[in-house]
Amino acid sequence: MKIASKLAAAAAVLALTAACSSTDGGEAGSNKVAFIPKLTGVGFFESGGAGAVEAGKKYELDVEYVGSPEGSVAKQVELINTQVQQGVGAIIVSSVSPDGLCQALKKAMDQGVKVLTWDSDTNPECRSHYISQGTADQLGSLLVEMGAEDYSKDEAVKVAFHYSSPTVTDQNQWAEVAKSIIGKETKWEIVDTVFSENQTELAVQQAEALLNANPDLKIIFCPDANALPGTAQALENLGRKDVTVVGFSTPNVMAPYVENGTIDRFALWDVTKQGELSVAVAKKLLDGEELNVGDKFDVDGFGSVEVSPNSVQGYDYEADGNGIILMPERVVFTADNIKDFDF
Amino acid sequence: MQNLKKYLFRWEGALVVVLIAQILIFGMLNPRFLNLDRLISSSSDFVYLGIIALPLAIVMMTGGIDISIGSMVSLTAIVTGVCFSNGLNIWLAAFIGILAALVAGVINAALILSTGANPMVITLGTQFLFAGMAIGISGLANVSAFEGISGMPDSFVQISNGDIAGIPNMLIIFAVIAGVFAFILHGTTFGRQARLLGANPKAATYAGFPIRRVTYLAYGLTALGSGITGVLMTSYVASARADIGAQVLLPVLTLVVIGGVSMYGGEGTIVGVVIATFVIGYLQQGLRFSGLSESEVSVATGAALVLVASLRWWTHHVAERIKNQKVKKQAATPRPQAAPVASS
Repeated sequence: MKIASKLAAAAAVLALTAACSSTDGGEAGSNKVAFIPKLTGVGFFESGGAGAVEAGKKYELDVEYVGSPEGSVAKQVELINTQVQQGVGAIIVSSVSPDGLCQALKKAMDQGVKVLTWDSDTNPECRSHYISQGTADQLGSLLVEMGAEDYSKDEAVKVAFHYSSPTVTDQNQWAEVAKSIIGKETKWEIVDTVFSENQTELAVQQAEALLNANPDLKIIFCPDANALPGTAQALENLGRKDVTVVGFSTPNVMAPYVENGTIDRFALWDVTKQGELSVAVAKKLLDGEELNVGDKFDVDGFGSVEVSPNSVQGYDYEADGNGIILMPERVVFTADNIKDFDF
Repeated sequence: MQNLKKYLFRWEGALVVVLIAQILIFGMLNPRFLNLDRLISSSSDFVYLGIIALPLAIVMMTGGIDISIGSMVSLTAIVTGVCFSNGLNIWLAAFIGILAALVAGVINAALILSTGANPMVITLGTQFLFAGMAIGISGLANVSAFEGISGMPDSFVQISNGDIAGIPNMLIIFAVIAGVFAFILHGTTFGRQARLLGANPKAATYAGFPIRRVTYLAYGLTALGSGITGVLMTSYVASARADIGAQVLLPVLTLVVIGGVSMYGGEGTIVGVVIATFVIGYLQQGLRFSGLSESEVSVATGAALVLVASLRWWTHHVAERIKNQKVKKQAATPRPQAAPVASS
């Protein structure tokens, strides 16, 4: 009895309050932008977020860096829905899955929200523009070239891959390109691919296990900001100096390993600038520009930027106001230049 | 019994009060939160957790636990996806996916009964087993695991994303399933036996309860709930993924405990778990609307869980003490007939 009357009261209160507030989510003209990483707490994404928030001040947008520490599809969907309901004008997301977010993103676009991706893309029909750090071809071959500095492509050496997870979009694309180049152009033999699920401890363990299982391993490719320092740490723990480790990570994390000579070189794009460029593009879209393939525009600090067709990333889908914006350059960090970067 | 019932009613009543209070408070902090359409449509983001929490509540009432729920969700998703990508009709594929979860549930129950080991240990093991199978199956079917399996027909995607007269399908499905489980727990012999088994396993054994059947049914139902959730989540994100259930376990356990189900078995109601689903769902949403980051939301949810768990212990403890004092007082004052000791 008691519960029934309480419920009735609750319903009445709810109905009353709901009647008072009739705003709808996602109206046009909002200057709020949600900048969403795959997961939080990783230096790479934090730096991208910092770049985006900073750029927000420049372009008079209210940019918020929001993400979840667990990086699952369901969580990202929930986050996107919450942001759209709060009335953001644009969403810039690094997707954990190529198609898992599509329903949520399409719903957002139906409500007039601008949807962009950065770092890791969704299917192209689920967003308008992708701010890319480089095509899979560029980054995959960069991996191979960094390895080839120490071991000639004609040498029959054993190599291995180590990155975050078999379910992550971008890293798998780079690894696949690198593997196909290795298969076609080199005599290297790929002995194993291991995964460390974005966990620091696991990255060290996996790398140690990999090195112990393959004592004659010569190159390890780590296209993951967590796997690379983990593997470098494993080399130090095992006292191995004869193995070349290359990959992608942030300079601040890798500086100690470069300074003590554990690794010689690794690469990345300037993720802070990637965040900045993403917000600059979002600003253009919020101002009503369509940005079709082939359009060129100037961005402060980047010079002239062009919208490339989705085909540079290997997609078949092309549409008006849809395309890819490539970061102009990627950086190879060595002991000589690492001090010039802070992220 | 009478006392227990009253106490439970009070627990659920308290949950309702908390639910209303938090909706109003978050509404004051951010008026956008307090939009009835929004409140209803956003429930799709969390009610699927409740669909597993309901049968898991029954398992926990028997004194057991099932850690493998998330892996069963993943298993269902990937079996559904693989069957679909091999040309099967999507509905048939989803049916086979749920069957796979049911088989997993039967394996859980069989292992628990045959080894007599703690259900937590058994299902912790099968958690890894089923998750590994999910990844293995996706590998065998030559699906590149990182892309998942997509391309499902729109009619299937609409199960979780569509709505009927403004009420999301997911919410309707949750309501129907909650009704079914409320009937199972409170209206059937199985439900009574499940709860009594948890309250006192020895007495249940001596009373000749069909313990094997109750165990199979309880874990089977949990597997069924996980299977249904696996299909719903696959539909919700429009792709079948081997890791979709990886983050399901802890939120679901939170719902069950906050819903008032005792970790030691014997106590709890379906209504409590249903209300808890909304309490936690809107709590997390409201915290996000108030500008908290995702890690801060986790901290707040964890704090709520600890608070609730200790509150339940504390109220129980105090109630017991008051009762004891009453009995002592009665015993101290001389009376013609002896005071009844611990009538319940």
